Amino acid sequence: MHLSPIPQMFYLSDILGKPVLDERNQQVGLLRDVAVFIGPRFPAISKIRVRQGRRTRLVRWSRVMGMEGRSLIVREPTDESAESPDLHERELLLYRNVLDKQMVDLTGRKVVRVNDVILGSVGGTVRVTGVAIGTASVLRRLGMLGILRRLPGVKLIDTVVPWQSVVPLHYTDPEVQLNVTAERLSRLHTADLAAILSDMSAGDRSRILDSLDDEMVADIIEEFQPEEQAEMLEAIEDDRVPDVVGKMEPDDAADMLQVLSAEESADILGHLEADDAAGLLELMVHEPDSAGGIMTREFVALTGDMSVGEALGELRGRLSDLPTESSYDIFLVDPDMHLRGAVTLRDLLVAVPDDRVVDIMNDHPVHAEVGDDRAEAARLVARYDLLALPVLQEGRLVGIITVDDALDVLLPTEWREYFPRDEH
Amino acid sequence: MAERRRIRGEHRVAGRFSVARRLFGRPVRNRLLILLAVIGPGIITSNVDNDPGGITTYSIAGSRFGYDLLWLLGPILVSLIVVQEMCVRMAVVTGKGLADLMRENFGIRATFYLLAALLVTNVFNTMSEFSGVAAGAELLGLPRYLVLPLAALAVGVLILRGSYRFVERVFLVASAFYVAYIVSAVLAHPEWHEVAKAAVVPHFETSPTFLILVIGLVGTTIAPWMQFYIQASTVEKRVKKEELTYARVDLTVGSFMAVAVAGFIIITCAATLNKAGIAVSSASQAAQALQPLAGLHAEQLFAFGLLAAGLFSGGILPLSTAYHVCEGMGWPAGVGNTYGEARQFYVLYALIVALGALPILIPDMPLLKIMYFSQVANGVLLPFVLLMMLRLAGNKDLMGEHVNGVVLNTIAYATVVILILATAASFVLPVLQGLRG
Repeated sequence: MHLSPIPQMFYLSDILGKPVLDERNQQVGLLRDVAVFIGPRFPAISKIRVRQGRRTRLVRWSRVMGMEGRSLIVREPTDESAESPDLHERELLLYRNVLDKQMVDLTGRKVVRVNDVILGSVGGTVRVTGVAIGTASVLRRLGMLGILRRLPGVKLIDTVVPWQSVVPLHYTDPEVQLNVTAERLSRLHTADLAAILSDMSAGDRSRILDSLDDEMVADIIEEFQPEEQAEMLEAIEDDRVPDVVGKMEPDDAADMLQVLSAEESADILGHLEADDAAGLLELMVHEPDSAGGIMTREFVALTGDMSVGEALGELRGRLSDLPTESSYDIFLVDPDMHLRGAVTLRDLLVAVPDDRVVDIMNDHPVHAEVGDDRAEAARLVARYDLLALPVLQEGRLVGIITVDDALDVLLPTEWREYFPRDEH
Repeated sequence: MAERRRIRGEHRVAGRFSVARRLFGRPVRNRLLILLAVIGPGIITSNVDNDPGGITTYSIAGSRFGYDLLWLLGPILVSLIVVQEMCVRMAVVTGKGLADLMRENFGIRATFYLLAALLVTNVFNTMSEFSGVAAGAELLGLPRYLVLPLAALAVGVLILRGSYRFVERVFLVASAFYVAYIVSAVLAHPEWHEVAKAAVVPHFETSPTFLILVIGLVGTTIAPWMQFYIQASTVEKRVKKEELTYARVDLTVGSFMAVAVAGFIIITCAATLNKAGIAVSSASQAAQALQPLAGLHAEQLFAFGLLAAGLFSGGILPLSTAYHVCEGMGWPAGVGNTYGEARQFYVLYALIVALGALPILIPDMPLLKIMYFSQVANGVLLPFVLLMMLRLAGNKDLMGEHVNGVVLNTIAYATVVILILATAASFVLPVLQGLRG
């Protein structure tokens, strides 16, 4: 019998459902599925599922000798009971878990549907090299590609994503899924991950969020507008919600809680640590469309008369806990928190260490009142090119509006997507 | 502000993401109120379902066959509840839409052909919605060439600009129009004992007209696109497994409303038109059924109803069709995307609206016939959608403990078998009669 070698490149849909033959060219069943072993490299085919009548069994790939047309030829064991392998927990079934399913495309940063799986053969091992996601692969599976390609002026080139760039959302083993998905997705920027999650079906979204840690989930939620944030909360396990809210930036968390009903926000606040809850409640007192509503309480204020050197020394310890956009502008206040002046980190670094801070500070920094309209306050940030605008209540410094929050107010929604916010 | 301060600490309520918020978008304290006034996917779906095609089909049924078809509403109600419950359950358990599940479980071939059929059927359904708008406009003395493009534009802009919720509310209020049929039915003094008898005693004929009307009635009440729609909106509302009971109450109430409206339209038309010997073939004839209530203003009232129903369903249908096709084919979908991100979605949407609206602008189009036959197309497609749904909802891997039970499977398969038999009969019988005659 003539045995042709396995082609260098072929599609999963080429061989699925085709007869599987033995050495004497007798049909032993139909090919139902192909299992691959997930490792650090392109996953190699390890087993195939063959259906004989009503029974389905797994056959090791090592017994596949070659291909005849689109049929696989397997060597039947001489001994009946020789082997009947099970599926390993790190094995992925290409038909059941990948084909026609949704996957995350890390390069394109979006959710894609797998129209076909591309297999490549190198030295006896057949590996998954990528997935086809374009319309051409849809047409090929429908058997229409050949005809359409013959039409004049029609160019149909498939879109292919290499395997290394995709993350499957479905695994045979939920444990493996948890680790692999979380590990690979957490390398994405939260802004991209947020966009990807909003494209997913609700079920997949919940499963992905379940597999990420609280900090990451909090960062992702911050990427959304308050109304959408509230919706994202619903994708999270109820028990986890307070933990996640506790990890969010207070101003974002406060805005989000204000969108929720009184009962819902009260329930979340009740589960938070007392300090966090109190801080959020203070922020929530301000109307969402006022300067107080978009400010954050995370800022650095120095008291007392100190030298530049002393100030830098103190800042070294305090800035580590603060988000980037809160770290550049340093405010000077009296013990009652009345604003006396402002100085930037740059001012401090270029000054002589023995200079007094009061001598180099700006005595009349631009500021807003808590009750001011938030758009007015945001415009101040833009007009004076500020990174942070101090917000006062009866002359006391109560918070700052950072440039990213000001941009959120000023930019129309569509623009915001082109200017993803920095990770905190 | 005062309310927000009050919550500090001691005032804590369990059930954070109450179904009330999901259903209303705002908190409702009174639990009883929830049950009295649930407006969830089920109720919204059945109101979209009472579209011009539905009104027409029910009017034709009542005017041609009197009370004879009333008994069919009982089985239709049971099937409707069973079918919608499957969709809601699948939505809650899998968190995925129907097209999504079909693609993942039956592969691209089956999904493609089913969605292609759905697309064609829904273009006809859209045509039927716009026919309703046109017929309504003409009864009011407005030229359809003016009203139709304006209506298409207005609904398109409103929905694409994200005020969908607002549109939904407006049209839900407008659907109070159906109360007119209840009042009209009472004022027409139907023979209630005959109504009661006809509602329980099955009446059957083998004439093709009768069979096609049966398919049309089932097709308009259990329209295929509704199943996609209710599943998608349940997914969107993120109903949790523990809240399945609420969702079931919601869809049952919705189904009752849809079937009650159907019943009263049939009764009204039977008591007025059928008695007067009018077999409805135009909108102004169908409007006469409302005379007991509105007298000389019957036409205006009917016109208003058709217009509102046509606008509401005509706004939602193209959008949801484009969405489901994209979902199944793996193209980005939804109005949250820009044109560049979701080209197929917007092209499909525009195509469905255009194909649905343009033919209506052709002079002397038989609007009522379009509305009626689109519902028959629904009835023909329905068994295929149901078969796929049954396979999905009966899949233990997918549904776990929420897999279909025996009773449910029996009812659903019975619906499928009856529909297939009726469809086959309506095509075969005329041929046989032709041979005999």
